[in-house]
Amino acid sequence: MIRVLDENGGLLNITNYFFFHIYIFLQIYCLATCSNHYFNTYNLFWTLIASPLFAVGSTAVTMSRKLEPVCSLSGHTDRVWQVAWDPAGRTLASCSADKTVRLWSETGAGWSCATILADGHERTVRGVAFSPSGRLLASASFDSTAAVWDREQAWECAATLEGHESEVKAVAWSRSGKYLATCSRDKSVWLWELTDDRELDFECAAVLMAHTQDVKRVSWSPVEDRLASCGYDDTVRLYRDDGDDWVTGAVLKGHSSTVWAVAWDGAGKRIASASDDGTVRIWAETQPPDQWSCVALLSGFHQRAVYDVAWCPLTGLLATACGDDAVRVFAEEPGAGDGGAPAFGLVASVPRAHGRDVNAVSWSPTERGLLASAGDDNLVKLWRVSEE
Amino acid sequence: MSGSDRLENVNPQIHSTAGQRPVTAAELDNSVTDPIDAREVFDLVRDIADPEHPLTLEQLNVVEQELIEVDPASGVVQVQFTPTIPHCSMATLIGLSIKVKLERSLPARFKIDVRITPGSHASERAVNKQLADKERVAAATENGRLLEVVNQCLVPPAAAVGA
Repeated sequence: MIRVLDENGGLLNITNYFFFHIYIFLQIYCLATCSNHYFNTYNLFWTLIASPLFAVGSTAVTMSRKLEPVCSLSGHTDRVWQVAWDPAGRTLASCSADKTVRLWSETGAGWSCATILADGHERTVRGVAFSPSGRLLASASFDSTAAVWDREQAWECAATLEGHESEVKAVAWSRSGKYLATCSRDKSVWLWELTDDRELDFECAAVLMAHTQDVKRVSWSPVEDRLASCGYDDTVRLYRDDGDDWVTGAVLKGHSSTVWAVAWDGAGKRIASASDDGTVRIWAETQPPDQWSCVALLSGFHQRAVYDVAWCPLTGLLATACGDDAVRVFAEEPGAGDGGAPAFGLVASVPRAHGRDVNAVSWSPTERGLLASAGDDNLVKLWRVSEE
Repeated sequence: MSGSDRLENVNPQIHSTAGQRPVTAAELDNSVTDPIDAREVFDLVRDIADPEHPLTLEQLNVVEQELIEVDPASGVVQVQFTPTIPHCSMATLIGLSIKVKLERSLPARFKIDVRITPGSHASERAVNKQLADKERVAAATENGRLLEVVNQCLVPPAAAVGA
């Protein structure tokens, strides 16, 4: 298998390019002559010389861990689009095309549905997110609104945020809980400022129009008020507050199709992006502020679109949700990283994690290795990754 | 769609249609596994109506059995369709109708990829991307008016009943 990987956006460097031509030439020559002798020579060449050259800064497959099923949660009557944990790791929210949000929690008998939020949206609920305090839950819907639900009022719908012209695709809270970001098919990202914590008053603080197409996901840095968004225009974009206004910073280009999801690492220094092109890219801020580059490309692992990526702040593991029904877990290989390009290896995978496309993955914020996933088969599943 | 005064493709070429699928002995034998093949998928989409003419997609050569691929192992069904003219504004709607029809008819485990035959449309890439985006397809099929238009296309036109 050939994997073309490097730190500068996936182009082969000159050395690799040279060997690639030798490889192609040998392959054609072997085919033309049907010579076993040359075929063996070529195979030897390939295993000994060429393949390590192609594996620069890349990826290995060492299934050193296992992804064990914990439980399967049924209840939704249509595809489940997203899952989100509350900060205490005790409540899991899931949202679905059946127009509801379900809250799951663990009791003595295992995980079960504790609450159904059914009257907030008229169409598909596409995204959910808990506030950092765990008190508020925001939901994004194809009905062009976002709703905020209040735990202190028995999960009443406390506010409805209107303004987007079409489907709202995602919601995300800033680390302080002061800002809520929403993004939409209408190409915009809105920042809502929570001006009154008691009354739950929101004011629109900014409308960011950087994307040229449908915005699929928003994600805040875990350490500062910095936002990332991604979408149908194949880019990831970053925003920050420069003192009196929200400005657009870096534009991360490299994916060849829709970027479905972005996730920050625990330190807020790197971003993982998942795309319709079947790859995951790791980006790092090489020259602050706002000079970002692609430092690793996870290519050749996913057979179809990657719909979600989650970066665990506790273990550093990356999980992906894929349109080929699989959930995969990647670990960063030790040793790399100091100056060199980071390398990620596939350490666990479940090929048929769901009966249909997997739409979402989310790591528990409190329990190491506990992963939630959601799919087009209407199910939410919990998994545990064994420690190395 | 029939509300517009001018037709985009005024005089389309009408092609002959395939006959009935012959039933084989193996198909009648319940002990033989009979995986879904390209002909079966073709039978599901051949009678979809063109949004503009009272003709089927088969009669307009928009769908052909040769351009359908089924991989039973991975469950991937690939359908290529050929718009009648390279600037056809109905291309997305036709592709959406094919996709909706197959999603409703085939078992849920199938992955359905609907694409334009390479080189047959000016906005091939944009239409393909739109059709591959399951989130936008889901939002489109939640839109009552658009769904009505799609459902109309899924009713075989009178011309297909006699064929």
